[in-house]
Amino acid sequence: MGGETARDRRVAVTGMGAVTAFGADVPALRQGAWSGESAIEPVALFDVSRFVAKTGAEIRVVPTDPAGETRGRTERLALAAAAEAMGPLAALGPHAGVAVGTTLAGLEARVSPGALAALLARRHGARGPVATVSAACASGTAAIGLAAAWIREGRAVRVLAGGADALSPFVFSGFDALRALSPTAARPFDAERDGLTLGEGAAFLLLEDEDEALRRGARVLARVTGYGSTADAFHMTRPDPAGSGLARAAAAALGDAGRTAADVGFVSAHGTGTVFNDAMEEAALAHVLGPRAGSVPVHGLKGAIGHTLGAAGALEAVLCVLVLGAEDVPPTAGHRAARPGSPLFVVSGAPHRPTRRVDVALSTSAAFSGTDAALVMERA
Amino acid sequence: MRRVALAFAATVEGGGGALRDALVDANRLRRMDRFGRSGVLAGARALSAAGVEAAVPGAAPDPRFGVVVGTAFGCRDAITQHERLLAAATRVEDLAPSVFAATVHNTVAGELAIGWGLGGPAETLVSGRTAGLEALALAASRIAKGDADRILVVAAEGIDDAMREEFLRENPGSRLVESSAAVLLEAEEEEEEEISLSKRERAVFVEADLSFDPGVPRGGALPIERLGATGLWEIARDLAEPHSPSKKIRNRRYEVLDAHGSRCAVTLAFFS
Repeated sequence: MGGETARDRRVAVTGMGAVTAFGADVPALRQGAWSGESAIEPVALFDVSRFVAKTGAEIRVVPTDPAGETRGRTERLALAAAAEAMGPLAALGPHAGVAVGTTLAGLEARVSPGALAALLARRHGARGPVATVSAACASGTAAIGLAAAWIREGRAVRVLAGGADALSPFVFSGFDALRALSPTAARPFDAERDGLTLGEGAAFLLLEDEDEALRRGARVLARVTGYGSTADAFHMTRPDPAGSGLARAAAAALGDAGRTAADVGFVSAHGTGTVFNDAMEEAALAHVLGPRAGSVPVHGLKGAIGHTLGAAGALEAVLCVLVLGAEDVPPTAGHRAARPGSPLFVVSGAPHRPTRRVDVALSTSAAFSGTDAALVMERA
Repeated sequence: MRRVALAFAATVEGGGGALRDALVDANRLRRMDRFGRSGVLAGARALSAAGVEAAVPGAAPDPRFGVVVGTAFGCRDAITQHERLLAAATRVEDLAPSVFAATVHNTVAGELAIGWGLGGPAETLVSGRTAGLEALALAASRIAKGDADRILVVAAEGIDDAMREEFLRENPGSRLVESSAAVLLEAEEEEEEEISLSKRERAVFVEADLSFDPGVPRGGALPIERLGATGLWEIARDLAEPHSPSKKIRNRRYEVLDAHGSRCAVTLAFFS
């Protein structure tokens, strides 16, 4: 891998896979997201009679493992999304890795969360770095950040990176006990938002050293150019109302990409739909974007497919790639009206066609334990 | 790229059961599960050795000081606690929100960040037995790249009764030790050309190598099994060895294999 420096290597996105409540592939996610519809419905997967909340964005038909190796719900979601991301590529190869973000993979089988990444590495022939990150709701974003670092450092030429988590009574009961769930459906950044809605899913990006990707004739869909992570150092479950930690993560990601707020054309926000998270994120994005905060289109995917925990950041990265390749920005499902004085321009109702093309997208994630993470992705 | 020095280290055994400690507030210890207490105690000892003081409430965290954690099973203790409550619950009021809040694997990173004002890069790796060395490699890379000046690396496991029983059933000849280790990484001044032993430094980071090979037999558990704390434990122990200032440099290589096929090797240059 010669004497190239980290700055010399571009991280290209050459494949994507997504399984959500909208369907078992990226086109289903695209169609669902741009429709402005929500996939949130009454939960049928398990009995919710003892819980206060009753809704979720569940996947009605979870793909089976074609090799019959696993019956785990999270694992099957991950395998399906990873297979779509691989596309026609037969194997990842000797200098290739796998980075998985998850909160509860391995729970069903009582194995280490790292077993899922190993399963994907075996299935797709990776022989380079294989790791699992778990930063609660920022896990998917952190996995992509780690994978991008491996490629930039020359540790891998190709990495399957993403996240996966399944809906279960375990997580549903916990968020219900925290009184974090909406009695109806998540409404990101809405004036009358009343909580998050849990979902499930998986998403993977095939990231490659761009030179290697072009050498094998792969089409470059977008680039991952920046990553930042920080700690709020404020509270274990409550976000810092000033949004300082998330603002620092976003600024770090922009700095890593060599970009400024003036370059940002789209924000995929964490946007859980809870009163406290969205207020924190309004403050963070207002700080990062400055005077442009009111004009940069902001989208919250969780109003459509629920909060998919470890998959969320990866699914939002897929959405960023779709936006970078589109002429318009999808509306935020569930968002009807912003609170008076909100500093953000949250796209709602119908797709929005920006006055200038989106070349740079910022994706933000915030998590329990005060972990914040952000990605910058750019048009190829 | 900046050189990364390993300055202070600590190891703890059985930290998951500690409900009182001179360095950590008792109320905070009580809200943690065994993994949380195990990791925070090791981190607190390394920070204390380095003279890093606890955060003043309300003060802004240090954006140049991060924390990276590695673990194999993370918050398994809190997960088991929540599962038991859920199995017996007839209504949501029977559950404990504080227990569920501890069912994320990044609690050690969060508690250390809050307690000592660490506002820089925050990551948690849960890859298996290799996670501790992976955490060290990631932290070294973030410092070398300039994302932070100091990063506390922690590798920890919390072993509850259910985990211990399960482990002994599957690995009867092995001893499972609840372990945690912490190492403080610092950036060396960029203009410093020659490696020399400062008062703070004991070793410098040389390289890390990560790979995956499911075909190589990994065997079962180690005779003394520290799970995700394995590699960092050895490094922290070696850093704590008595030594005298010297310019002699000797490389030491630490390699950990995970049963699922991952391998992580870290090479450090020790002044000895």
